[in-house]
Amino acid sequence: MTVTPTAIDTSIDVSSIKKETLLQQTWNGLKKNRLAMVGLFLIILLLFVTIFADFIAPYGVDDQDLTRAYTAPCKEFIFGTDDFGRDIFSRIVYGSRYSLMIGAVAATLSAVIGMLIGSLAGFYGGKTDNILMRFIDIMLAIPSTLLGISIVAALGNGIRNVIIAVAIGAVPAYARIVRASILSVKEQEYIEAARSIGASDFRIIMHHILPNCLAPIIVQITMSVAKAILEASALSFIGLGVQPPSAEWGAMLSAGRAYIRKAWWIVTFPGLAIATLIFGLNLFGDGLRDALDPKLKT
Amino acid sequence: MSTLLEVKGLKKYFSTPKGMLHAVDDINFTLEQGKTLGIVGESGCGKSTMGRVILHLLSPTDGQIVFDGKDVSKPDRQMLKDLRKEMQMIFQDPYSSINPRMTVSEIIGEPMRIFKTCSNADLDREVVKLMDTVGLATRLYNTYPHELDGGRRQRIGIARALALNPKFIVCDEPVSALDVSIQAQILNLMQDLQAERKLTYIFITHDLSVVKHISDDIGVMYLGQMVEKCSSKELFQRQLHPYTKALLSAIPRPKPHQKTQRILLRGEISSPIDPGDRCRFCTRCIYAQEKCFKESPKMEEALPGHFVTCHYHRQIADGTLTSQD
Amino acid sequence: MDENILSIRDLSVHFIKDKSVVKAVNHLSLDLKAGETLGLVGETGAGKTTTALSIMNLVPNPPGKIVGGEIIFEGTDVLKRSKLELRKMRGREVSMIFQDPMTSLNPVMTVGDQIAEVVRLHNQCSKADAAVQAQKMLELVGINAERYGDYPHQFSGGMKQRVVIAIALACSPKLLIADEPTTALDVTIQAQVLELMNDLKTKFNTSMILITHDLGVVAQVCDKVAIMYAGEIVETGDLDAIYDNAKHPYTIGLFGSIPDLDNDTERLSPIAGLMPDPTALPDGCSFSPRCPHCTQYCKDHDPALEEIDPGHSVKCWLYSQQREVEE
Repeated sequence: MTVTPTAIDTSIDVSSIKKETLLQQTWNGLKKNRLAMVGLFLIILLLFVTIFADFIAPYGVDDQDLTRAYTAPCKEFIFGTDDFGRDIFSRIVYGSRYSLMIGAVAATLSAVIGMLIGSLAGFYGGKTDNILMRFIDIMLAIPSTLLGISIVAALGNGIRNVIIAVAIGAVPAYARIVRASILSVKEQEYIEAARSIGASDFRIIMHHILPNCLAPIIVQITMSVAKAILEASALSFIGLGVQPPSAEWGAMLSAGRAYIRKAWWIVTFPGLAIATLIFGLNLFGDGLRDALDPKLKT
Repeated sequence: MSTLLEVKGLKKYFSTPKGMLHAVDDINFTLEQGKTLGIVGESGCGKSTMGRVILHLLSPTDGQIVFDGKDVSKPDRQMLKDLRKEMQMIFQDPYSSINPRMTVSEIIGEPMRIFKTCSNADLDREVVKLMDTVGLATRLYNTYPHELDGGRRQRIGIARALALNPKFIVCDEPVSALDVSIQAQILNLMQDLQAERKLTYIFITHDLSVVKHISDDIGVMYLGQMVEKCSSKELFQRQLHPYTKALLSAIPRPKPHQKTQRILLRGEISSPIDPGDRCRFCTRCIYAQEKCFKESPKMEEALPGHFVTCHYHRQIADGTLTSQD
Repeated sequence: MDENILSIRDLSVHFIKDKSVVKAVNHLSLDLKAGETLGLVGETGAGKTTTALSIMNLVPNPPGKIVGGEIIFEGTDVLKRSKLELRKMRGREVSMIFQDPMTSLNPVMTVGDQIAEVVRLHNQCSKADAAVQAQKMLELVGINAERYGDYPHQFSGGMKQRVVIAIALACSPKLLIADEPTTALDVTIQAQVLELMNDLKTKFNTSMILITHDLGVVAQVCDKVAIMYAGEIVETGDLDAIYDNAKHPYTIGLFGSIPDLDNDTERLSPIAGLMPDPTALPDGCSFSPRCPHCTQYCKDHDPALEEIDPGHSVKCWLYSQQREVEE
């Protein structure tokens, strides 16, 4: 005789019992966090601006009008014009494309490489772990900005090389996070339990380990998008990577440096754009981390 | 009653920077089908490690394991896979032994999915049946573990262990993390399941009152060795090993008038690393003699069915050797 | 109040979590005399630790809030004392031992210094004097004074707990609150630590509140027992009254859940169901959903803690005189 005599209710169609997927759980968690929603809004704003740049920007990105150079913000030019009479607002709008591309591509690239290294190191341990992590340590010993500078200096300017430089700089962070995640999950009893019910190594990695490492990885991706954009801007600022006349925000900052007293708007608005986007990404990343951590839910 | 499990000279050593850690050292016992062997001991005695070695979650350093007549000490891949269907484990911590990212039904159904014991269509029904067997309401089918309390989580673990219809289950402290009233519910459940399905258990715990309730035979472990083994009834009536005596006297009874004379052990437990050829218990034993420090005792059958690992158990029992304190 | 060193009257503590209110402690009252040991027994979520923290006014705020009641310790209400007074009280008049010895000690301070710290906080004495006192305490708890300069990680669990006890008793407090002090320890070590606590208790004449879920430990150490359920005391009395003459169905259920070492039991008699959700406690008696003797009256009306015999009180309609009056 079993403890609780609940008759098997075969009338309950179990497939009808709704299961909250990870996506739904995350969304529910995010919704509650106001700051995260602000961050999300800012990110969506960027996407919107990037996609519909042609419709939003009143002028072309390179439309010069030397007679209207150094115009302060006014109705005609919301953010004013720069030293070549180009509308800063339009340039910022078009410049968002650089930020998006660099951020997305660099983050993805570093995530993939970093995850591969981290997974191998974490799962196999021993010598593999040792060799791979020492390699990562060497990379970490060089400040990422300096690393970026070296790579771009070696490969030359241009958006492609900026992406590579920034991506390489971010690989160690991913490798470490993934490795740490795997190491901690590996020790959990449910991994042992999975082995005891006959699961193969492959099944354990795919079904048990990786899904539980997702949270920190996703958060890291959000954070590294922000970092990538910031680094690309920094590189442009010092004259490497994407250069004027490209409307990359960092390049605009650099070019506008000289006019900070005469025409503050040339430097200020690109700077604000960078700051706002990074701010939004950080807020969203924090909110995502809180929403993805199942332990916080009780 | 046929013998389901026979363990001979089982050893598990771990190599550490400080030396060789003797986690499990020369364990011998037999277990008959349908019976429960309780393994008791305090932290560090090796009981959990032994459970895992028997289940091949850890590989033995030496020794022989004979399951259902077959020598499974060094199984190949196929044998190991087949063994998994027959031998299962219930884990101690209901919070870390189930994957937080899987629903109740996914966790319980996974063994069946791995071994394809039934079609996908039938899987749902089988899972619901198992949930009912362990007392989990059907509406919890798609719930995540973090929404449930320890008792319910442990039921999930039990259902998972039953999914493949094993003959033998190692229960590693399955109720230690639970409240007393939930403990009782789970213990009753496990006893019912054993009766219904003719299960054989190894029940590992540090709680003597629990082990007495559920076991037919009990083995007491200390620093990797089995110091005493006999029937459950016998152990509580007559202990032959000094450690067992001390262990039993240390348990606080819920009887205010029965202030038992407690045998307090001296000092702390000695190190399991490179223990050397001597009795593991000699540093704390109130009867310790010179021989105890020089030679490791072997397990012998002191009385029919009652085994003990002590040089002087006869002298202690008949009173010729008294406590040194 | 006369010989009572501690009097808790009608204490209620709530925790605000998201939008829901967790009623951790509900209208709890208890008394403790000098030199007495009270066992506060209950399962997880019963509210024992919250009660203990309230006595020292240490309930984390937010999210916790003491919403009512008074805690009279040595004549004055703890809840009304100033921050300075509270700090003076903690460690000196009232001390607490927490459950997990592994995390109660500061890993980067020597054990001797940790004991000396509490001595210096409450006494105007030099560093040297405090160190001497610390060494005395170490010896008292059975640790060689030479180990003054050792760090916590160099000690085993049982010894760490002894250090914790030394810290708690260093200033000879009048009241010691021990929150599951031996739960994390092996049974043989537990025996040693309980023996030690008994000795010290007698030596210093300290009153003690021992929080535990283990009825065996209570039987060995306590004079009085209070059984907690869902934030309330459902039964309280002398040791004999509770162990030989338990009345409340929950108490009886608790005893029925423990396997008996001395007698054979075929099946245990656990209490069906689970503790109620503290954000949604049932109307009427909080134990009604699980009680085998529950009636409609129990579901609608919440009984009060009433004295049924001298020194033995129960919160249950089965034994209440009041109900007859109302009906």
